[in-house]
Amino acid sequence: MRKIFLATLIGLPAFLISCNDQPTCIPEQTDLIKIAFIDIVGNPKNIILTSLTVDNSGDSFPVFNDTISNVIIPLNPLDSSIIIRFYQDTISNYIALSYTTIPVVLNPKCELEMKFDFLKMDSTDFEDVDVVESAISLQTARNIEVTH
Amino acid sequence: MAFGTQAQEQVQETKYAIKLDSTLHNKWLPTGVRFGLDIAGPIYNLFEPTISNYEGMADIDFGKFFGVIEMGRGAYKSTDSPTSYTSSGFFYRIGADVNLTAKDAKLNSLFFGLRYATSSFNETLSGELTNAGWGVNPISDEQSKSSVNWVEMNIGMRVRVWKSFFMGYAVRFKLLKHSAFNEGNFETYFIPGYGVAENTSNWGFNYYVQYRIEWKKKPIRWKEN
Repeated sequence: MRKIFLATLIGLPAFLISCNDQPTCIPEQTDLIKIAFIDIVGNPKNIILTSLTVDNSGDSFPVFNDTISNVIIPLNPLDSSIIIRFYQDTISNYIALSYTTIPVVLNPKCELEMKFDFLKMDSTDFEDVDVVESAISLQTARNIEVTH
Repeated sequence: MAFGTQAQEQVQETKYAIKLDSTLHNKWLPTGVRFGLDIAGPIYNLFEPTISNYEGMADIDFGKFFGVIEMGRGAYKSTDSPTSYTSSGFFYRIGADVNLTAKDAKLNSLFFGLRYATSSFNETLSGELTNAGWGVNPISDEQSKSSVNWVEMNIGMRVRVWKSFFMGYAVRFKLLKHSAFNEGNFETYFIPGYGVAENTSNWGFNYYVQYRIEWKKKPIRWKEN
C-alpha cells in the first residue's frame, strides 16, 4: 500500500501540473451584427446606400456611397440599444435594435471581451424587417433580413 | 485437538483494528475522527501566485464508509494583466467515501467518494473594451455574494505513516451545471474551490496531512493470509 501511495503521489501532481492550460487569447465573442437586404422571394437585393449612421456614435462610422446587399454594424458595448439610419438619396429609414451585454473574461492575460446576445427589433419604418438570428456570434451568417 | 480449538478462538487484532465478530461488534459505530490540512494548495501557490487555495477536511468512519466534510478559502488575483480580475471566497464540500481496502489492519485506505460542493465568493473586474465602431472603453465593476454548486467524484489514498498520522491525496473530477450562475454584472471567470468557471468540468488535486483521533479499535473483516 505504501509503495503504491508513493508512486502515485509523485506521478499525479506532475501530470496535473502539466495539464495546466496556457491562454491562446483567440477572441470568442463578436460585436458585429449582419443585416441583409433581400427581395420578396428571399434573394439578395442590392440597394444604393448614400450613407449610414448610428445614433450617438459620433463620426466613427464611415459613410457609404455604394451598391450593397448586406451591411455589418458593430453594436455599442456601453448601451443595450442602437438606432441605425439608412440613407438612399432622398429616402431614409431606420431600425431600432436592443440587445443584452455582459463582459466576459476569456483569461485575465487576454483583452476583455463583451458578449452580446438576445438581439431584438424595437421599431422600424422599413416595410418588413425580421430578426432571423437573435444570437450574436462569430458563426452567425445573418442576424436581420430587410425585405426591400 | 484442544490446542487447535484454542488457537482458532484467539482474538485477531492489531493496534488499530480487531477482527469483526458479529456477536461482539457493531461495525457501523464510528471508531475515530480524522482531521487534515491540504498542503498541495500552498505549494501550487508558490508556482502560480495568481491562485491561492487553503483547505482542511474531517472524516468519520461508519463501517467501510466515511462521512466527509471539507472547507476552504480560495482566491484568484490577477492585477498586472490586460484585464484585472479578482475572485475570492469560501467553499465547502460534504459527501461520503467508500473504502475499497476495508480489510487493511492499519486502516490505510484506497477510496472512492462523491461530494456536493458550494462556493460563495466576491469578484472585481476592470479592463478595456476595444470596439471597431465605438473606440476603447474602460470597464470597472464588481459583484458580491455569488454562489455556485457543483458535484465531484473523488478517488484517493490515505496511508498511516506514523502512529495516528496519515498522509493522503484525493484526485477530484468536478462537474458544474452552467445555468446555475452568470446572471450578474459580468461572467464569472474563477470559482474558489472549483476553478475556471467556463469549463463544465475541472480536475483537482489535494494532498493531505492528517491526524486521526481513535477511541477504539475498528472491527474489520480480517484478511486471512
